[in-house]
Amino acid sequence: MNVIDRRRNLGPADAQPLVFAAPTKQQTQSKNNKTSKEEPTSKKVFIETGTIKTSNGSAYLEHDKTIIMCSIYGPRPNFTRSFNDQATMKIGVSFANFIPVENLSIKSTNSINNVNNNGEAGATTSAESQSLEVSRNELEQLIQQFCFTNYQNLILLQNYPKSSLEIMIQVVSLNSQHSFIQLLSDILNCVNVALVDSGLQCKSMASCGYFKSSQSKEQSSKGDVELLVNMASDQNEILGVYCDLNDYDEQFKKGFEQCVENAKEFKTELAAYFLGCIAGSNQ
Amino acid sequence: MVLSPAERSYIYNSLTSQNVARTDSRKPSQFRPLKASCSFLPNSNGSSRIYTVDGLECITSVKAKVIRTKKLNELINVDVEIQGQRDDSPLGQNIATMLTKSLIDRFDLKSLKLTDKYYFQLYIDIVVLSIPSDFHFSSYTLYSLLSLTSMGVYLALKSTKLPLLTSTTNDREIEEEPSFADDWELATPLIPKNSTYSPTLLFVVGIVGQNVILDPSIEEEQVLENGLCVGFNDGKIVPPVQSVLLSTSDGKGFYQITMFKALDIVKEVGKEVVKALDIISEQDVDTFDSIF
Repeated sequence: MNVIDRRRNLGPADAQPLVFAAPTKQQTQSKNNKTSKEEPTSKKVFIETGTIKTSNGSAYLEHDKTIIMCSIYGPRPNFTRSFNDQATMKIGVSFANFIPVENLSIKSTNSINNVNNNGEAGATTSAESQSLEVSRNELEQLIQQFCFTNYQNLILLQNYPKSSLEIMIQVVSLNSQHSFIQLLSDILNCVNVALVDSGLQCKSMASCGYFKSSQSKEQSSKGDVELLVNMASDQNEILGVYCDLNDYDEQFKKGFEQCVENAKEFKTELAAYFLGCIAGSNQ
Repeated sequence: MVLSPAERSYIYNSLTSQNVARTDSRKPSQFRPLKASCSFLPNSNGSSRIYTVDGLECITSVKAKVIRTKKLNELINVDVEIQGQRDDSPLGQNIATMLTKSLIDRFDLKSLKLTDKYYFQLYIDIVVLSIPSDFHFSSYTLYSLLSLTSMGVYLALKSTKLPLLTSTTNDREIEEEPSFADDWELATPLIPKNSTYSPTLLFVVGIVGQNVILDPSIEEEQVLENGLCVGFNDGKIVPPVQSVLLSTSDGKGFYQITMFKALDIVKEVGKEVVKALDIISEQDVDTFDSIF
C-alpha cells in the first residue's frame, strides 16, 4: 500500500504505516471443485502471492498447464483535469505472444453437420469450424470488460478519490484443452488473490467457481451446461456470471448451485492459505 | 442527464421498493415504446431502422457475398459503429462479438449454403445514432444498446432477400461457380415465413436490490447495481447469459434468486417481443419498389 493517504486518514505523508504481519512467501496447493469423492473434476491449483516486487499486490496462478500472473498498482494519484470522486480503475489483459489463441475460440453449438442438408455421410467437419474464432484483441477486450464488471462492484473505489488503480493480467501459458470460460474463471481467481495481497479496500474476499456438466471434450453434447460464478462475501453475493447453457431448466439450476458450492469451497481453501501465510510470518 | 445525489437516491428508492416504481411508470417487464421499419436501404439485401422514445436510433444493414469456404464462423460478420466512439472502442467491439456469437450459435446455416463449396457470407453492419451528449461524464455505460441492436439485427435478417440460385447445387465432382437469376422479383427470403428458425434476441435486465427491470432507461441505468445480458431463441434461454456493467458507480453483487428472477422475466416476455417484431417484419413495405 502507498504510505501517502490522500484523504489524510492516516495522518501526514511521512507517517509510518502499521505493519501487522509481513506476508511471507508460502506456496500452497489447493484442490477445488470436487463434485464426487471418486472423481476430482479439476486439477490442483498452485497459487503464490507477492511475485512482482514493484507492484502493490501480485499473484501467480497455475492450473493444469494454464499460467496466469496478475499485478495490481495503486491507488496512485490521478492527474487528470477532472475531479474524480472515486478511483478510476483500469484493467489490462495480455496474452503472451507465443500463445496460440485460436485454441481458445469461443465455443459454438452450431456445426457444419447441420448444413449437410441432403443427409449424406462424410461431411467434412474440422475442429475450428465449430467454434467462433475471435482475434487476440477481441478476446482481451472481452476478458477486460468482464473483469471490469466484476471488480467495479467489489473494490471500494469511493474510498480512493482522485486516484487510479491498475490491474494487469498476463496469460503466460494456456492449456489447449481449456475452454474460454475455464480460463476466465482462472483469471478471476488470480485477480481475487492479488487483490487480497494488495491490501486494497474491498467489500469482501471473492472467489470464482467453475462448473461443467461433462468433463471431457468427447462427452460434450449440445445440452451441456458450462458456467462460472464469481462470489463475494459470506452472504452468497454474486459479482458476475458467465454461462453457456442449452435452456433455463433444472439442469442449469443444479449446475448453478454446484458452481456456487465450488466457489465457496475455493474460498475456504484461499482463506486457509492466507491464514497460513500470517501464521508462518509470526513464527 | 447527469443525476444529482438527491435524484439518484429518489430513483434508487423507487426501484428497490416492493412495488417497483419506474421513472416512466412502466412495469418491470415493460419495454419503452419502439418504432421500427424494414427494407429501407436500397443497396442492401436486408435492412432495418429501429428507434426508441429517448432518441437512440439503430440502423442495421445486411449484405450478402458469395465465398468459397469451409469455415462456418466466417459466414456471419457483425460490425457495430457507435456515434462519437472510436471504431476500436471496447463498447462497440464487445457488442459486436456478443452479437456474432449469439447469431452463429443458433443460425440456420442451411439457408446460407449454395453448393458443397460455396456459401453466402453475411455482413451485418450496425450504426447507432443519437448517443446522449453527456455519455462521457455520466455513470451509465450504454451496454443496454445490446438489446436495441439485437432487435435491429433480428428485423434486418427477417427482411433479408437473397438472389435465386439458378446453377446446380452439387459441385462435388465438377466445380461450378454459382450463378443467380437476374430478376430481383424472384429473390428468396433468407428466413422463409414457414421456417421455424429465428435469430437470437438479446435482452438486457437491470438488477437493483432484489428487483429486476427490463430495458432500463438512461436515468435508471445510473442507479442500477448490476446487469445481465440474456439470450432468447425459440422460447428458450440461450447463451450469452452473462453479467454486463450498466453503471460505473455504486455497484453491488446480486443473489442467486434475483438472477433466476431475471431469467424468468426474459422467458416470460421473450415470446411477446418476438411476436411484436414478427408483425413489424411482415408489415414490411418496400418503399423503393413502390416508388418505381
